[in-house]
Amino acid sequence: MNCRNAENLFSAFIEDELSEEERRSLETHLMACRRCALSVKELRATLEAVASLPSVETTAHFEEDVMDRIRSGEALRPSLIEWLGDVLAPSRLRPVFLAGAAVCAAWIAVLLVHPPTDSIGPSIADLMKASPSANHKPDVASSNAGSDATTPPAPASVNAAPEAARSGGTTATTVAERNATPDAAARVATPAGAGGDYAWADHEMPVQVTGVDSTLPNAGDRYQDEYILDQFYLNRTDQDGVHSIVPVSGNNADDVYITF
Amino acid sequence: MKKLDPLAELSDEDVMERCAQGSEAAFRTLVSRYRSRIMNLVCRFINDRDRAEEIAQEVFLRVFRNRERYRKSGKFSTWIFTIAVNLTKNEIRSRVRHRGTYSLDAMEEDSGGQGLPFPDLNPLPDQDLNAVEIRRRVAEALRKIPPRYREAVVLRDVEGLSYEEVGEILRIPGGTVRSRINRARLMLKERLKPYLTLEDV
Repeated sequence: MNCRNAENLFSAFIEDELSEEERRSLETHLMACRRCALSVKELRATLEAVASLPSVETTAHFEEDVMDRIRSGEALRPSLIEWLGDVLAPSRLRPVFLAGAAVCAAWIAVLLVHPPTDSIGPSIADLMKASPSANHKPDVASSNAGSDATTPPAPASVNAAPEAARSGGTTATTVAERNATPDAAARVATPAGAGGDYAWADHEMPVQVTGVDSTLPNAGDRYQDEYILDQFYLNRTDQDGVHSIVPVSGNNADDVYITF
Repeated sequence: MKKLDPLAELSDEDVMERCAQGSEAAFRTLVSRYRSRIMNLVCRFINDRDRAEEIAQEVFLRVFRNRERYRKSGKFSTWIFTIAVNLTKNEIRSRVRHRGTYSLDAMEEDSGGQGLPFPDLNPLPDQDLNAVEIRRRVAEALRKIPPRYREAVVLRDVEGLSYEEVGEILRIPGGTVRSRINRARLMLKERLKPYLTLEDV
């Protein structure tokens, strides 16, 4: 018998609950192991010390307090909190949680085996597949052209029609250029007015636009503006090659409109 | 000549049966039989005497409220201790929720920062100061071992219940009860070792 096995038997040994064989085996160990023998002594003393703890008494009016609470009707029906406590007890809720977890696991498994193909709005995969010259896509640019500039437009199509691009001044140039670049799929821009105003709204995905500004006094400046973690940055390179990045602040990102 | 209380001779289970039939005297008998044990049990878990007394009262309110649901086939002590343990666990759980953590030191502060939250009601003469110190250390050691071990050892060694009853109250099998109590005692021993006098053993 090693010390660990012996230790497991200490309580039963002290309470005289060991079988004859176990007791003899432990006693043999205790004669050979001073550490365990001391441990048993200490354990006996501990049990005596615990037994010597005085009882904590209630106040003298305990019984009358209980009777008063019963007379007041408190004991007649469970309080709402008590009832909720019983109903929402972890032991009662465990099967509910387990069932919920099982349903979630099954759902995830189904999604893994059969990924949804018909989701609301374009998935990232769809966006990545979109070709730069996708003329079959809805003409979002023109459909939004008359909308109120202060109203955040609906998530815009990446592939604004080239027709719109040709007719929209700065907007046209921007969208056309955007569609011509390989990472066009990651960009979303919606023209919100005929004057080349832009409204940036879809914060769900990175928004970026690049191009050459031909309408401002400093015509020819390069720009590459984008949202990075909810903050819109004006990223400009002027004709002299001076590069500047200016964060556009605003409490509500929907209020951020940039006019070129 | 003093009239004998007819309930005094009855077992807890028989008294409880009378209580279920609507006897207030029977209920009062149960309160007087168990108030100290229930208070003692709750106090070993919750270091707040006033709150412990409220919970102990609540235990008896539940006994009264559920008097008709008591089944005489089970021991009354097991039934009432189960109620007490569950209410105490609820209290500890709600404290954990409100405090974010179950801090015994913080609970000690609740009692006004006294090192000894429950003043000794039976002060000993000066020569027994060592015994007072030991009691204080034992109470402290009990509060500091993990709750699952504490509840088992308190039911067994403070309340004096059988292993079977402890298992029934805590809803754990007999083997687990025994190993948990043994482990709890070894933990207490480690904490109390410096204060034990072994000569007398």
